[in-house]
Amino acid sequence: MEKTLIIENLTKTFKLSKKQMRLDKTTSNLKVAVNDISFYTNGGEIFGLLGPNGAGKTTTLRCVATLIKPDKGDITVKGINVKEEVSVKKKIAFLTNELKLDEQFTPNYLFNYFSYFHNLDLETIERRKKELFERFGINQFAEVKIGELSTGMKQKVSIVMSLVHDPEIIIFDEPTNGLDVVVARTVTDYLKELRDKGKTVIISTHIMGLVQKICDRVGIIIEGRLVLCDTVENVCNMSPNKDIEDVFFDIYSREMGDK
Amino acid sequence: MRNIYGIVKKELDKIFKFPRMIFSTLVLPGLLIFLIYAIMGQSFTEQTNIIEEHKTIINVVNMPASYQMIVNDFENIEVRIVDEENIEDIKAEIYDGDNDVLVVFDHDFDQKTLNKEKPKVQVVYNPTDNRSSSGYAIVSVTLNVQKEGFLQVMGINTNIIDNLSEPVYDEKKATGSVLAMLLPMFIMMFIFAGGMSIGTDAIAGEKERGTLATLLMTPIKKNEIVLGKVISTAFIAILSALSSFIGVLASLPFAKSMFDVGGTVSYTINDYLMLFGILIVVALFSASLMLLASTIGKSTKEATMYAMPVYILAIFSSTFSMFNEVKDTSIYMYLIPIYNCTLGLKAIFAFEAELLPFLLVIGSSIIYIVGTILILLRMFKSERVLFAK
Repeated sequence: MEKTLIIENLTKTFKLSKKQMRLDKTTSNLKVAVNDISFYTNGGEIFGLLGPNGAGKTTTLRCVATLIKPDKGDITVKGINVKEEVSVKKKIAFLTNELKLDEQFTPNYLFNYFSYFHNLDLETIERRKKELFERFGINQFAEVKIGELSTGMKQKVSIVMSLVHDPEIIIFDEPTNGLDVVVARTVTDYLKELRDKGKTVIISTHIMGLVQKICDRVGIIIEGRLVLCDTVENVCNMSPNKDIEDVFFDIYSREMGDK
Repeated sequence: MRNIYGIVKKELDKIFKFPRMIFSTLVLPGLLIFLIYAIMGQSFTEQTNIIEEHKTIINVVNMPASYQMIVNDFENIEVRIVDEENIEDIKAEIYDGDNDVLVVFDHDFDQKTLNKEKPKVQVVYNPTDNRSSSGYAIVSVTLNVQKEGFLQVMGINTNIIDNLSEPVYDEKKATGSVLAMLLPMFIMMFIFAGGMSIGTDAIAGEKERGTLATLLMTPIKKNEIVLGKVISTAFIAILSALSSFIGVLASLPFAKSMFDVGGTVSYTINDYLMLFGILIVVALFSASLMLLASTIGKSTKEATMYAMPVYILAIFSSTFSMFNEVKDTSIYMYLIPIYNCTLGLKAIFAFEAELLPFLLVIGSSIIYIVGTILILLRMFKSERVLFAK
């Protein structure tokens, strides 16, 4: 199986403001958000990064998506080092459900807008638009301003805008957080479809049930360190109840025991 | 009462628990008023000093002894006795702003006064020139002293003296001075308002909505995003300025009646080119400053808070320029950011634009724009700024 993403010894440190230092109750102005993490993903799989809030999941994925630069370590996307930003961006999509589009524009306008920067030809743009708009049921409100759409409709449009260039690797930060239940189902079904098409889907989440339900492999991150990485099946088997939540809290208690 | 207290406390906490809010709500208004009055006061003082330091030239034709005695006692004036054949030349100099006042007495003025022959005295001055206006005021005082302090004491009825004043000025320049007073302020106000309305949302809004990350995930370069934002913001700012420019030109007939000026506005192609040049640099500078505020701000609201002092500064810099005469402007003033553009606009509208000050305005503004954009690019590449929580 082809390794689509390889992360080796990734470390990322942030400088804290005085306010953040007060909040974190620390005297050091440096915070190691991601500490020496290594893992890989395969084509045709859904990989879950599981961890509590602030564990380093989003930072790891932002490094992969070239949005921020790692301090140490190597990241290779389909054989290309992330330092070659433009080439990597053509292969990756980074989605977040926090995305709120400009309310005065229509889904159709915004699709063309984001497609423009991916240098896609008109034919490809129209084909992708047809595929995605049909898949997410956007056609009937393609010419309606975002501001006039319901929350669920807005969420669908937001997701579609990041997928215009048919990426090989789809990173979804907290994919179902805050989503309308119907949209959440549409999203999880779509992620499975992408996997079946041979694409790599990486999700970051703190929702155990989602990982157990749709992921093939999982990495557990606690306090910036990857403490476990295996197939979901193997991880579940570590618990008598075959429940990933039990396994997670066992590991979490062990890791955080002294803190 | 308890509930009212709860509401009041929360509303006050919104200000008092956040140093930035304390600064923008409580400190900034007072600070701005202090600065405005301090700078306005300084500006007035400088203008007054310029007039006071200037030795008023009073040209007198047919100098009577009664007036000679009076002007001899006045300080800071230079009395030049001139012949009648030079009257037209001196009038021309006054018209051009190169001479101050001309006082023309009748032949044998004193004798005619004694004979009650209704002697005439005519004062020629340029009301559009500060020095000449100030000279006219001095001459009025001296003539008054001559009448009341000298002739009246001798028992002569001074009402028989026929006092005439003849204002000489270029109607075009007079109209220009009205435009120069109003237009720079309107243009600066609308360019910065236009820049603020679109600029503050351009980056901070995208950060707030999360669309910046989506845009950054496309193969677009960060520099291209910044330059695209600068150009679009500047374009909107220029359109706002043009709208105000057209509005003021359309309202000119009303302004003329308000300010009692005649003449037609006929700027040359060079004036329009210079105006266009300054509009472009003001718009670009405004756009880059507003985008800087937008990059620093985590939300549109925060960006607007940072942009507001810049906007206020721009408006007041154009207000200060109202008190400055173009010809009295020191060359270094054309290097002061924002204020230099106001002075440049004022000079164009007053028909007093010259190449060197114009080039200084454009050159220095380009340096400030490039500097601001470089800072903007640097900040736009900072992970801490772009993904601040």
